Order: sequence, then C-alpha cells, then structure tokens
Amino acid sequence: VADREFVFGHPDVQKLITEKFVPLAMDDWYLRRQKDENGRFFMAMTAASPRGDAGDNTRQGRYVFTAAGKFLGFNNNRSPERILAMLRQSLAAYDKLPERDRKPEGEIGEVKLEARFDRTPPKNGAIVKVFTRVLEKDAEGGLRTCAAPAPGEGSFQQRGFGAAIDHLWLREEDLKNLLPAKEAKPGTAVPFPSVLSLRLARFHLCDNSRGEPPHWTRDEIKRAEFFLTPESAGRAKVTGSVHLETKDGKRGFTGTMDGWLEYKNGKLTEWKSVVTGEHWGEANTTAGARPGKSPIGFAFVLCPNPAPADTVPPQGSRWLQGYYEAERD
Amino acid sequence: MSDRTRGIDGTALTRRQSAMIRKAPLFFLLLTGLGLPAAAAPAPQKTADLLEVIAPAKSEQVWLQIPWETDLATARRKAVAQNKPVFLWEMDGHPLGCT
Repeated sequence: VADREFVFGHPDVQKLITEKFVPLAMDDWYLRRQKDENGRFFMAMTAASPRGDAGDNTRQGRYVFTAAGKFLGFNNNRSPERILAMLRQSLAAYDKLPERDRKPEGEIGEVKLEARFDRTPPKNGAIVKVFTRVLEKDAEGGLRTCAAPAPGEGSFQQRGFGAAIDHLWLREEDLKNLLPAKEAKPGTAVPFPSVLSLRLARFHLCDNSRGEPPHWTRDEIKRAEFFLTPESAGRAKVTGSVHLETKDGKRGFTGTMDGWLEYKNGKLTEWKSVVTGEHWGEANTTAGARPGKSPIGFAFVLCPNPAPADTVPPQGSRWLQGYYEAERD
Repeated sequence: MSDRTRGIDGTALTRRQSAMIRKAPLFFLLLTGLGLPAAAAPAPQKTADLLEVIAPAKSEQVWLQIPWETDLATARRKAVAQNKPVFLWEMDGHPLGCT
C-alpha cells in the first residue's frame, strides 16, 4: 500500500511512467507459476535481471523490458529518486537498442492462459470493489478515519490507516440466486444464499489494511447472516451481521452490514453497503494492529464499467473453486 | 380523609406512605429520564456517510492516474504499437488489489 502513495503517487514518477512507458501491474504469485506463454516470457526476462534464477521464490520488484523480452532495468526500492534513476537509465538503453530487440518478429496474439491460473472476471457477473479501513470513534460515537500521525511518526499509509482494496466477484448464477424475483413481497427479508454469505464473510471481511491477511476458515465463521429486503421494484435493502473468530480467540471481527442493492432484468445495477464493527488481533503477515478491539469498516461498491485495474482478481481466489464454493475448506 | 390518603383497598395510609405515593410519578420520571429535557441521542451514521469515510479519497488514489494494464500480452502489444518499453510493477499479491 505504501508504494501506491510514496512511489506511484510521486508526480515525477507518474509523469515519466505515463509518458514514456507502457505501465503494467501483475501478481507474482500467479506469473511465476504459470507454464503458459506469459509465464515463460516473464521467467526468461527476469532471469536476465538481478533476480536471476530465483527458482520458486518471489520475483517481485519493478522491471523495465521490451516487447521482445529484453531486460532493461530493475529496482525494488521505495525511493522515488532511485526509481526515477532506473527509469531514465532504462530509457537511454532502450533508445540504443536495435529494432529486433524492441519488437518480436511476429504478432503478439492472444495468450491461452494455463487454466488453473486464469482469473478472467466472470462472464455476465459483477465486480464489486471492497475497501477496508481501520477507523476510530469521534466524540459523538460516530466513525471516522484515523488521524494521521504527527510528522516524524511515520506516514498515514504505513500505519495501515489507508484504504485497502479487494474485489468481490459474483458469477451469473450468484446473481440469479441472490437478486429478488419480480414477485418478491416488499418488506419481507430473504436470506442471502449460504454460499454467498460465506464468500463475503470468509474472503471479504478480513483486515487487509496492513498486508495480505489470512482468510477466515469455515470453522471460524461463528455467524454470517445477510438479508435482502425488497423495498420497491428493483431496489432492496441489505442488512446482516457477522461474528468471525479464530479458535484461540486472538483474532476476530464482529460487525453489521447496512446498505442497498439495485437491479434490473437480472443484472445488478448498484451495490452500496458497509460493514462496520470491531476487530482485534493480527496475523504474521498483518503485524502492527492496534491493541485490543478497535473499529474497522468495509465498503462494498459495484463497479459497473471496470477499467483494467478493476479486473484484478479477489485476493481469496488463488484457489478459485474454494472461493466460489465457500462452504468448502 | 380524601381518597389520596387511602390505599387501593380503602385502608388508611400513614403520612409516609401517602408522601411516597404523591412523589411516585416524579420518581418514575426521574428514573426513566422522561422528566428531563430530551438529550440529543447520536443519530446513527448513514450508510452513504460511512461509504465516504471508508472508501479511498481522491487524494489517496493518485497512483491510479497511471493507466495500468493488467495483462502481459496486452502491454507488449501496446509497447510495439507505441515504440515504448514496458514498466512492470510486480508484487506477491496484486499491486492494484489485495491490500
């Protein structure tokens, strides 16, 4: 999260990348495992970088390379100045390259991705942005963003006070099972399909504000109840409550959901809801949580016209079947 | 003796019992808070307000002004068409999501 602000929020870095490069962001977890054309291209390019042959280990970092696969530069540092220096050196190297090193001989066609690593958003489904933010209470008991630490105490984002981002994927069949029928009686609450309640709770009510969190196991779901109550044609109120907790009680979350959905002809046209409550504890990958129980909020907002950045798969979908069929462990 | 100094069964009440009965409504009002000016109970925060609190502000999304691609082949094709190198931001966990 810190990179987003310190590196890619830096105006000089932004300008140079946008004007002189084709910017690409990818998940190393997938790419280094893929045995398809993308995976082979990436492994060959990174083998020529300071990462060398990293075997099964991470290759994360910032790379510059040509469409033909020629490696030009690498950096894995958070200093904008060092990134800028690497970008400028890479551009100078690019300018000196012969055409054959810049472009591959043939056309670059569509790549058939290795099926188990293909994370194409569900056809005729929906993408819902999920934002997470740790919060604090104001004098009246309302929730607000945490105050930024004083100068010299670190940054807003470094403390995990920024908004984390994930994506909830709903398939066509999920929408069919979720959205109220035309004849649904206004005012009558209908529970979410169990598999959707569990998908929401297990994979999208996790404290990812300080890093990649562990997702909740099936046994850690003490309660996950969500309801849709049709209010008028094409609009329903969404409510719910959850209690998620590890067996030892050291990490958990209790909260309630409020918001609404709008839909037309079987399509979701709006989803705006929040889940607020108290969380506690941390995992190895999310160290630095505030002590004791403290407020946290999750916001769900439909993304009707996704840009490439909105098509990033849910963090919980590395085992895709387990994500969609959340009743499984 | 007026009715106010007799119990519901008609028996006479002591002065102390009578005083307690006279003060009972006041005691009840004080106990329930109804006799006091209504305290301003905090209104529940509206969902729309909470959405604004939780979702990233524009100032937190400056990094998204960079037109990120998320598909390697698409980025390579663009690099050929625009005669530019590719800049790749690669992380364990997608840089544009997951945290």
